[in-house]
Amino acid sequence: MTVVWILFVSSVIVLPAAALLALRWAVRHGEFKNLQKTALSIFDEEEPVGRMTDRFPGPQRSSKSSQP
Amino acid sequence: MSATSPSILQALSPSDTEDVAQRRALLAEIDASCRGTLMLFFGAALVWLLIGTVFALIASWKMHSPDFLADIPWLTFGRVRPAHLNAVVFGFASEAAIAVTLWLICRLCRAPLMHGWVVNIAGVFWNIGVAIGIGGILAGHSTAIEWLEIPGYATPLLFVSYALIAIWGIITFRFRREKHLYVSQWYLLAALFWFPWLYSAAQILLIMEPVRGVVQATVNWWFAHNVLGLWFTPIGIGAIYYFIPKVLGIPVYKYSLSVIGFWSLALFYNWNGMHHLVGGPLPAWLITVSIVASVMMTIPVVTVGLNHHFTMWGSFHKLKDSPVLRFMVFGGMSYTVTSLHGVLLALRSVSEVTHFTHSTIAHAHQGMYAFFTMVMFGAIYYIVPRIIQVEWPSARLISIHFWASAIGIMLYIVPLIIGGTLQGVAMINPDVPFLDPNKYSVVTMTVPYLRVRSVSGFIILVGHLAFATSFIWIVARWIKAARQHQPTPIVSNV
Amino acid sequence: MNPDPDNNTPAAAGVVADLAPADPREHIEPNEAQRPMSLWYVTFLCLFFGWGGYYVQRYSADYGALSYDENAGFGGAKTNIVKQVDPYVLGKRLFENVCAKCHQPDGHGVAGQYPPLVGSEWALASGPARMVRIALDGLQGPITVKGAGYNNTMTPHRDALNDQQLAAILTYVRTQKEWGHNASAVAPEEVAGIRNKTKDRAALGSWTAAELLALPDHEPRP
Ligand code: HEC
Repeated sequence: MTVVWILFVSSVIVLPAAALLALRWAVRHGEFKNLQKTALSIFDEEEPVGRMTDRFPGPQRSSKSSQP
Repeated sequence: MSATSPSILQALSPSDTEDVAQRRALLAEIDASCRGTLMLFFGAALVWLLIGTVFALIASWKMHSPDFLADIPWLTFGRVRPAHLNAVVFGFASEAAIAVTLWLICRLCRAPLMHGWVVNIAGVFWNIGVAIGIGGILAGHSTAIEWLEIPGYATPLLFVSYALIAIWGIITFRFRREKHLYVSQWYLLAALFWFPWLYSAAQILLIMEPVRGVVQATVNWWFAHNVLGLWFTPIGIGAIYYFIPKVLGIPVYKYSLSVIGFWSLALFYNWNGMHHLVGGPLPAWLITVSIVASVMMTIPVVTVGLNHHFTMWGSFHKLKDSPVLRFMVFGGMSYTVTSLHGVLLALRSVSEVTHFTHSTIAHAHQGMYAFFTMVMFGAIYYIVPRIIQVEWPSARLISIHFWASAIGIMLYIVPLIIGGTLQGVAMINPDVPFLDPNKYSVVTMTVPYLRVRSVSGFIILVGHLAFATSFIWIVARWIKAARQHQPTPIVSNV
Repeated sequence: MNPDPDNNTPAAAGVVADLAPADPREHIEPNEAQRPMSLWYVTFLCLFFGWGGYYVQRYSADYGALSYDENAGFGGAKTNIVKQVDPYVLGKRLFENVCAKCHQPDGHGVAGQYPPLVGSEWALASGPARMVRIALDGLQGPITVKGAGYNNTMTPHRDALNDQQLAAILTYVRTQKEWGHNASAVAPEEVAGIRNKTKDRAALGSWTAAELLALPDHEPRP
């Protein structure tokens, strides 16, 4: 039975608390500021905005591609 | 375009050369650090995918031809079906999910995977666990609890190896070099936390110290529904949030929406499972709250759907060029459709008809296959060439895989939803007999739809075989290239 | 590109401009600051929250742990409405699930193996005393039904079906309109009485036709 109580307490208190802490951390850490920059964080000079990074292997299949 | 990227970039902006070279070195380091681990997970996932597909076909065939293999106890329906479920859920889907998660965390944190061998060991044990578990199910040791059929002697293995993997993901996150958390990371890290909570809670409440009566059904549905919603869904969405913008080279349409999408999923999903017990002996408020939470799921679904759709807006013609994009967009659209369909199914008036029919099965496959599995396929097509520095050998095989999977799964879902709904209508009509070979009866009316399902299963199998061929081929090339110490240059990211 | 003055990310700088594709739509870089949350979206959120609040309150039957009817408890009606099940409908469903395996959905049985229930003198006896016993503890050995002989075994259902269910099945069989049956209905209390009286029977094995024929049609009142 004790294990059920541990589970109950952890589910009802610890999990929501963890969620709130994560939210607080995110707010303090400025995660919700400058969202534009975050959206761009997956790009860099190596793989910049405006360049497709995947295509079918082999010879070019269509001429109407986004390649330079 | 077959020239290699460095020369172009260097030619275009010589001033950036050093920085770019550094960035590239880091990317290469990250990809190299994941190489062995990811290939292990992807390879094993593929094996389980094939095994799971075969079990699925056997089970599906038995639904309309019950005599098929009926005299082999190991292959009776009651064993093959859970074997299929566990092979695809814990073998294929979870392993693919773990690998994609690890890679995305490394990429997004711009940090290599440290001491990957620990995860390799965890991966080996995970596979042993799943193999013992499925062997146990076939031998008749299933726990008979849906989504948790793996017998007790295999679960500790799964648990320990999962813990190692999750801890490794989090350690990598601790050592991140990228300050900003991209939205995918929210989803992935949350999934890493949620899954052990779900799994251990369900293990404790259903197997170690089983609760009694309706509470058992309650916990079971809570678990089964949340494995989809809090383990696979966040990983699937997290992957889409990365891959669609990344492949297109266009940032996500509206980042603020993605924040709302994540937190509303976290808030609402966990309550959803009880809508499966409409009409059951559960306190009315419990079901009501669950229905409301299910309907509230419209918020994250529409938010995420719009965000992905508008990111794609104006780029749909690129689906022609990019295999990854095809799988991702198919998966993303299926996510929207399946979730909104799920909202409908949660309503009392609808659930009374559709529940306990084949339409629930169709819905589950829409989520697990049309959405999640397709996203995982896309991710694998993107990741593998990058980590092993070898290009996919055949565009045609990828095309076959995509079309077979896409057509196969649509042929699965649409007829089965229609058939299931008609079945539900027949089941609540007392004038329709349950089984009567000469009349319109509940059992016989479903048979044509079940046959179509078997056909769709074969089409899907063709897709999986194409995928397996591609994968074995690329691995063969990789080994050959490694022998020659001369990696084939990758052309796809030019 | 569409150079945004305060967008100083490296991506917006020169490199990309040269590589950028010809399609102008791809140049649009969304800028959060220029797009506040749309009014449609806010309305959409409000509608859902409003509906959710209403629905929870309306269909929670006062949040009672024992309230199973979602319609109870709102607007003063506190009682749970117990739905009356028509025994004929329940019996039909159970018959098709349980008995039809052997006696067939049409009740005609299988010649030489499973005796018919349609027109059977056992099923249509003026009282249910024998039939309840057969359904509870099964039947074995030679029996004659509608002039034909059978010698097979019928499984017991004592633990599988409760009094209400058994009464419903037997009522259904005895009053099946399409079979032209018109015998009396069976009450759950009758089943309960016989179940209790014969509770040691299971240990002795299934009934035989001879044993049953020695009993009266109607259960004598205690
Ligand atoms: C496992 C197959 C089986 C099932 C299930 C079964 N029966 Fe029977 N039943 C038989 C057989 C066999 C006999 C004849 C037994 C004998 O030969 O002694 C029989 C005899 C009877 C008889 C007496 C003979 C007659 O035809 O009237 C009745 C009444 C009867 N069953 C009713 C039922 C009812 C009601 C149910 C559902 C609760 C049921 N049976 C389920 C196999 C079955």
